[in-house]
Amino acid sequence: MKITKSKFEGIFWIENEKKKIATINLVPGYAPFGEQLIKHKNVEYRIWEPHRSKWAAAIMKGIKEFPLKKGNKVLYLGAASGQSASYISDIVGDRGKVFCVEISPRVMRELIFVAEKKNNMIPILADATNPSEYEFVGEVDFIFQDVAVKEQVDVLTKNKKFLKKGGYAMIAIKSRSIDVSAKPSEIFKNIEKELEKHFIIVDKKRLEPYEMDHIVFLLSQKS
Amino acid sequence: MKRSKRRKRPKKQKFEKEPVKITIAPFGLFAFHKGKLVKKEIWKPKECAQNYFKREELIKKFKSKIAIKAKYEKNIIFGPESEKFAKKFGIKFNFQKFMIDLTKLKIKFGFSKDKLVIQASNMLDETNKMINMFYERLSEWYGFYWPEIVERVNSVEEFSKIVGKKRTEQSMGFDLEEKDLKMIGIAGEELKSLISFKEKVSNYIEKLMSEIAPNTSKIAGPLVGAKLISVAGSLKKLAEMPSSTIQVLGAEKALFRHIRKGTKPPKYGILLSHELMHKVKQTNRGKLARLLASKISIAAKIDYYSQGKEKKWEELLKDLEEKVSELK
Ligand SMILES: C[S@@+](CC[C@H](N)C(=O)[O-])C[C@H]1O[C@@H](n2cnc3c(N)ncnc32)[C@H](O)[C@@H]1O
Repeated sequence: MKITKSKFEGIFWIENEKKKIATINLVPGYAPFGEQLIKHKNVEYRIWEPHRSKWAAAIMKGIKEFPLKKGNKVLYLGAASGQSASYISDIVGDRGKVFCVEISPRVMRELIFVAEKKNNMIPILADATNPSEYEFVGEVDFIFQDVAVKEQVDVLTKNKKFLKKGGYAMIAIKSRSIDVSAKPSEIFKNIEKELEKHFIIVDKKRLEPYEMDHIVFLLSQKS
Repeated sequence: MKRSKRRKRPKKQKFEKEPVKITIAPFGLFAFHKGKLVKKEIWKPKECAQNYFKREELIKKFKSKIAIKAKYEKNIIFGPESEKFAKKFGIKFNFQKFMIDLTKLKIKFGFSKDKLVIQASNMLDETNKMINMFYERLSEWYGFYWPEIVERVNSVEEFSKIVGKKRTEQSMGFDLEEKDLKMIGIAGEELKSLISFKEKVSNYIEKLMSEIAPNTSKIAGPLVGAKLISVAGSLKKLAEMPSSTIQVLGAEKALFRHIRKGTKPPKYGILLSHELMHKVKQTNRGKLARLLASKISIAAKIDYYSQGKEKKWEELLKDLEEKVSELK
């Protein structure tokens, strides 16, 4: 097995039979989603499966940048049970914070179990279309958004005010949740146009074969 | 006459111009006056999340304990910054733990009984599927032995009563051994118990529905009503749905096919199981579904917004029946 640093902070390449990415486990021994843990020279790595996380898929598909840093404050919209958010939590580390906004109490239940172990994950049971519910979050370095609702761009623009100058946002778009009949590439083109009004598009990646009809945009703030 | 001694009146407290500033933190209340802390109330870590929900009441009480008469100004501290404020007063406060507690309480008290309806309704569907599976399997199995009776029975209830029994007539079936027949009988007992379970779940749904959605229950029927709530996702969502969506609820596949490929749009979904559907001509079912959906939409709104308290189904039913009689 070969383990090497990737060009992104806190993310490593693990080469076994397959090449996979991993983070360093913030809570050694803890694998809430049945993910593989690999111990190597006294460091425990958590495999980050691209089939289970859109951000991991975007990295596997070769996204140009992943400008998340140790100590960053992150706003995560649509955290669900906290699977992807738990990797973001690994990367930002003890000093960082991941504000996990999720509307559904059912999945929030699962996220709470994770947050009880990972003390930089802050659960917020709230509607991301109504940021006044979590104004206290303050300024963040990074926004991740994966809400899978029709008005996805709206959700992001409403939350843009939290983003620090020079901050980044990453948004996953599922064409099906916007329109079931239109062609995904058409939908993505329209979304891109919308996003361009508010952000600079740093990179974008379709997620096939990990996730069908999905795209991830990496955005930075317009100055 | 001696003038009564004038009693010393207590000095009237001066109304201070400088306002009292009350800082509301997630771990307590702090009153400042002229820059000085004049009163504080600090909560135990375990109480903080609970107190968050009754803070208005707590603030009122707190105010009444402040001796200074003045205007109040509120200052809310929330979020990770509150940890720094806590430190100033030598208090250990962990905002993340607080948010976990707070979220737990939100989950606990955010529960609504329509979620029970949804579970029970899905359980009923699954039970029906299991009953059908048992019925099919056992018909084959027992049919080796007594095909004539399997052919004759025409309901699963009837079948469950005879499956595994010894023949009482000449049969083309194979003469199964005792042990084979016994096993079939054991499986038959499971079928019986599934049927009785189905009965119980249905009764339970009926009761629940009359509690949380009495109007929907009367118009749609308790089981169809429960199924509508289940597919909509919640009573709230059903109440907010346009009646045209309710009409085709449960026919999502056909609807998507219509949108994508231009096939015929569905005229009804779950509503096909409504008892009135079998009383009108096939060609009138679409119209009836539309009618039902519009009444159910009203009923669900009444149920949701009155929390099951308001009962207006009589009017709705009367209106419905009149219109249905025109349809036939
Ligand atoms: C595709 S899942 C997110 C999966 C997650 N990002 C992961 O990779 O582990 C989308 C989530 O967004 C949530 N969601 C939808 N609308 C929302 C809203 N308005 N506010 C907050 N969360 C929302 C859903 O409840 C769902 O859990």
